[in-house]
Formats: sequence, C-alpha cells, structure tokens
Amino acid sequence: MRHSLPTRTRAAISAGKLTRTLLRAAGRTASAVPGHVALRMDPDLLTRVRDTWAFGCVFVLGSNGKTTTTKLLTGILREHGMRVFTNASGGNLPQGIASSMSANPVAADIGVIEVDEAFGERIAAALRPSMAVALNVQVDQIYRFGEPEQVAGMIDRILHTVTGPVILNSDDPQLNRIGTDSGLDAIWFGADGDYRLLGAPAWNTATTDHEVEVSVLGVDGGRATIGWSGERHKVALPAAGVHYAMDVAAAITAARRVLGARFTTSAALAALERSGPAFGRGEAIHTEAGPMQLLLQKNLASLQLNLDSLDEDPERVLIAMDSSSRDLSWLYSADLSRIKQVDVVSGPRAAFMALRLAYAGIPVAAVEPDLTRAVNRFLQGAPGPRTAILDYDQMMAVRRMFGRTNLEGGA
Amino acid sequence: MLRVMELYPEQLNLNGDTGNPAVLVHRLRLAGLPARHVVYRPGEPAPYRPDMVTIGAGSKAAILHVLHDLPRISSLIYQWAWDGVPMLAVGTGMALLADEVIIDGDSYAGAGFARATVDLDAAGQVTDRFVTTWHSGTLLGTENHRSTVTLHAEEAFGTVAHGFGNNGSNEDGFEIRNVIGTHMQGPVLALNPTLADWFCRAIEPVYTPNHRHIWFDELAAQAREALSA
Repeated sequence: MRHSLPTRTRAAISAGKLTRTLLRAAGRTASAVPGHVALRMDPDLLTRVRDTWAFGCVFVLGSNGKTTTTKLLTGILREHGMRVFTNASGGNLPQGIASSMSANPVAADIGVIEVDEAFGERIAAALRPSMAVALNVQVDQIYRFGEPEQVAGMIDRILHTVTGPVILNSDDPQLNRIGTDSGLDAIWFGADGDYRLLGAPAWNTATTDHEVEVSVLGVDGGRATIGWSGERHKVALPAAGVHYAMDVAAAITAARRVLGARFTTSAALAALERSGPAFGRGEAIHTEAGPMQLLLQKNLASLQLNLDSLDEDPERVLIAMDSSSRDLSWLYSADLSRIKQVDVVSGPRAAFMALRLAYAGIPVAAVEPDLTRAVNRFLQGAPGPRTAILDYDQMMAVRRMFGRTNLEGGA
Repeated sequence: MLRVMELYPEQLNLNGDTGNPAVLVHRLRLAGLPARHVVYRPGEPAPYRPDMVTIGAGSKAAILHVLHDLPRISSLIYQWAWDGVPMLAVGTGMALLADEVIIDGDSYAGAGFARATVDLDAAGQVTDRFVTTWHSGTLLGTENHRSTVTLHAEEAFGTVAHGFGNNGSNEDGFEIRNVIGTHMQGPVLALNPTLADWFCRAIEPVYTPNHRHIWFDELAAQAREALSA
C-alpha cells in the first residue's frame, strides 16, 4: 500500500457501512445512500482510496459490454493473485462508487471501474485513471447524451484524462478515429474477419489499420480462438457471439498491460473458464416447463447482438418492455426476423413491442402487461425450451420470481 | 404497385424512422392495395417517381453527409412535391426539404420546397410525451432532436400542446400541399394511425381501412395510453 487512509476517510467508509447495515435491517437496499453519507463525511473519499492502489485504476468504457469486460478483467487479475476493487454491484456515479467502497474491501492493488460515459469526466477527476479500455460506441438514437458523434466526443475526453495506455477496439470506427494521431498511448485489439459494426453508421466506417496486440481469430459457439504473442489460444466465452469474444480480447489486452511479465496465459485461460455467463445472456432458469433462457435487451445493439448470436431461432418467446425505455422508436430499426412468433408480450410498454411485431407480420399470441401473469401464462402448455427477452428491471423481476436474488454482474 | 420511397435509409434512421414507410406499406396491403417499400441511397441513379416519400432523422454529421448527395435529386423532389406526391419528413430530416440548413455556423441548401431555415446547431430537446394537434385531431409520440425550425412563409403542421416543436413556440413542423414535416417520433405513423391513414388516402384515394386494421389501431391506442401514464 502506497499510502494509508486518513482517519477521516476511514470514518467516512465506516459511516457508509453503518448506513448500509441500517438500511438492510430496515429491509431497504437503496444502493446510493451509503455513498452519499460517506461522501458527505469525506468529499475526497474516492481520490484517497484510489491513491492506495499501487497499480492505479483502470476505466472500462463503451456502449455495450462494460459489465462483462469489467468482470472478466477483474477475474483475470484476481487469478494472478491481485487484490482488485471493482464497482460491479454498485452504480457508476460518484455516490455509487462510494457505496461500493462501503460494501466491499477497499484495500486493493488496483481498481477496475465500469464508467458511464455521461459521468466519466467527473469520475475521472476523482479516480485519475492510469489506464482505460474502450469497447465500442454503439448509440442507436439521440438520447440521454446526444448524438452518436457527441457520445464519441465524451469518450474521447475521458480517454484524454488517462495517464497511461488506452486500450481500444480497432474495428469500431469511432474509436479507431479517436485513437489515430491523437496523442493517446493507444493499444489496439480487434477481430480478424467480420466483426459486425452494430450501431456504427454504415456510411461512415472508414478505419485506419493498426497493429493489433490481441486479435479474435474465430468464434465457435461458446468458445473463441484468440491470438496474442504470436500464439493462438482457445478461450471460453461468457456467451456465444463475436461481441463477447471482443470483450475477452479487451480484458486480455488490459490484463497483459497491467501485469507485464507477471501475466501468464494459463492463469488467464483458467479465469475465463471459471467466469460465469455474461449478465443478461446465456443464463437459463429451470422451470416446471423446462429451461427458460434469459436475454437482455437494454437497447438496439444489445437486443440485436443477443438475438443474432442465438444458435437456433427461439421457438417459444416472451418479451417484456419496462417503462425505463421511454422512447421505443428504435424497435423499428431492429431486425427481428429470427423471431417467428411470440407467446406473450409483457411489461408496462408491452403495446409498443406488440405493435412493432404486428407491423413486421410476426404473430403475437397475447399481450399481458402484468409480468407475473405473463410468465405464468408463458409456462403453460407443452414443456420445452423457452426464451425470455427482457429489459433490465424485468430481468431482475423474473429472476426474483425464481428465487435468484444475487446481483450477478451488477448494475 | 404503389411505391413508398425512403430517402437515405442508412443515414436517416436515427430514431427507428424506417418504421414510417413500413407502416404505410403494411396498411396499404391490409387494405388490399399492393405496395412496396423502396429506398434511395447516395450515388444511385435518379429514382423513378414514387407514390410517397419518407425522410427520417439523422445526426448532424449524417445530414451533412446526405446534403452532398441531395443536389443530384433535389429538383426531382421539388417537382414531385409540387405535383402533390405525399411526403413525410421527421425531425432533422426536415432539413432536406428546407431552403436553408445551418450546420456548424455554415449555411447549406436543402431541396428548397419549404421556405424555412433548419438550424442543426441547436440544443437537444427531449420530450417523452410530445402532444400536438392538427386539423384531424391530436397526435402523440416522443420528441428527441437537436434542431430548430424557423418558418418563413409556411404553415406549421401541428400546434404543440406539450413539448418543444420548431423553436419552443407552439408550432410543430410544416404542411405544404401533401408534404408534412414534424418532430413527432414513435415512429409517428405507428403510434398515430389517423395520420398514417391520411397519407394512405393521399397515396391512393380508394384506400379504406377495414377489420384487419383494428388490431393495429388498438395496439397503437394502448401504446399512446402508456406514453400518457
């Protein structure tokens, strides 16, 4: 440990812990409140804790795959014996990260932090990243942060706060541009072949060829061939799909940079083998009617990538839309042709999805906004594999219905 | 065969705008009228006159990109619009029909059918429940754009009941002959069958919705209700 924590900071963390315990006792799980309390007591909490991490702090950025990549990188580093602080189960606002510091041990060698691009500059000012990983810029509509080009600008500005190397996806046109002739210490990973540029404007995909340090050479179901140091390795993926292979390539590139000569291929492969399925993909819940696979659809890119990477067209399908998706126009940009029919559409925004499916000529057997009733209906009929395509909140609710309460992968 | 032509589908589909031509084609077919969704892309040969034109929204960079191709077809667009070909332009897509477009302080020309200035240097406007009225009722959807529209000698299409519209006054879009510009998304024609049917009748006067349209209209009503909840 480079520095020990000042008394005030330790007191702030204790106060956060106590708040968390009291909230839990009261049956509440409000995640940002302990962070608020801790930050009130020590506004410099994040910086002070970060200064104790001898290997600095790695930011994980991008529109899709942040949670998965954060988890993979954390797993690989821990497999090498490092103590890692990560915000996996917390939010990525300052108070969310402070809450994570109240919930998890802060004594660590390194921080691996999933960062939301809209708040990245604020987080960067507090956590002073020494390295960053940027996965992709896949924005499918003007929303929260503005146009796709503006989101790329946010990522660009965050990357320029990084004091060390930035690890970039060479096949993402926006990141390719950001990292070329930019003064950044850019390290590239990429794919050999047809990485699908989802979300990237089809008319604006000119990229510069860069020397790629870790390369996805092929994907076969839940395994991929990934090359580094002139060797090819078969690795386990969190789920089938080339975008998961890209997440693995990003995590390996970062781990090699962090660990240097201490990096061993065997430890990395073991960590990947041990890591569970990606959150929102590949998780199957056992029901009386058979296995029900859960797919996350938080935006166009995640819905499309998850649908496209299915081995077979799903036969029995439930889709639920929650009300956090305030503008559902993007549904009309999705290619839903792998869905042949839908058993139940649910959630407060069910009608939007049902209407979209109707205009695509895809039959919908029932619209049931109430999720519990919809799931019960879905499980009636002949046993067999089922697929539930769910927004984040709906996925949490369905997992709770079947007794899974742990926040796997985190928020 | 009725042809509904979407302009620049790769560039101008920022908010699921491709849903608008899809809705028109589907509703025409449900009414027993053969219809096709066709597209025009940059650099393609000059297109034949379609029965309807739709223009979606794009980012500033995307609009700038297509404005370089637009002179190849802008006189056609102008002529078709003048001849009464129905057109729908959504959000920043209105720039393609305007006589002036401002991008990063520079002035560009659209097809010039709408005497209006579309300024793409404006602040972002997001309205989760965007409500306007037009001559045939109320329209409901979402608003999500970075533009202002200043009308010089045109009628607005809608009166804004809730949201920003052209420039924060109560005007939304423009309406000139069968050409309608609006900031309403959802996509607007999916959520508002009355406007979709107005276009269908402008495309083909014998168009009459039937019992096969009822399920679609019921779902659209539920979706509008969910927006209001």
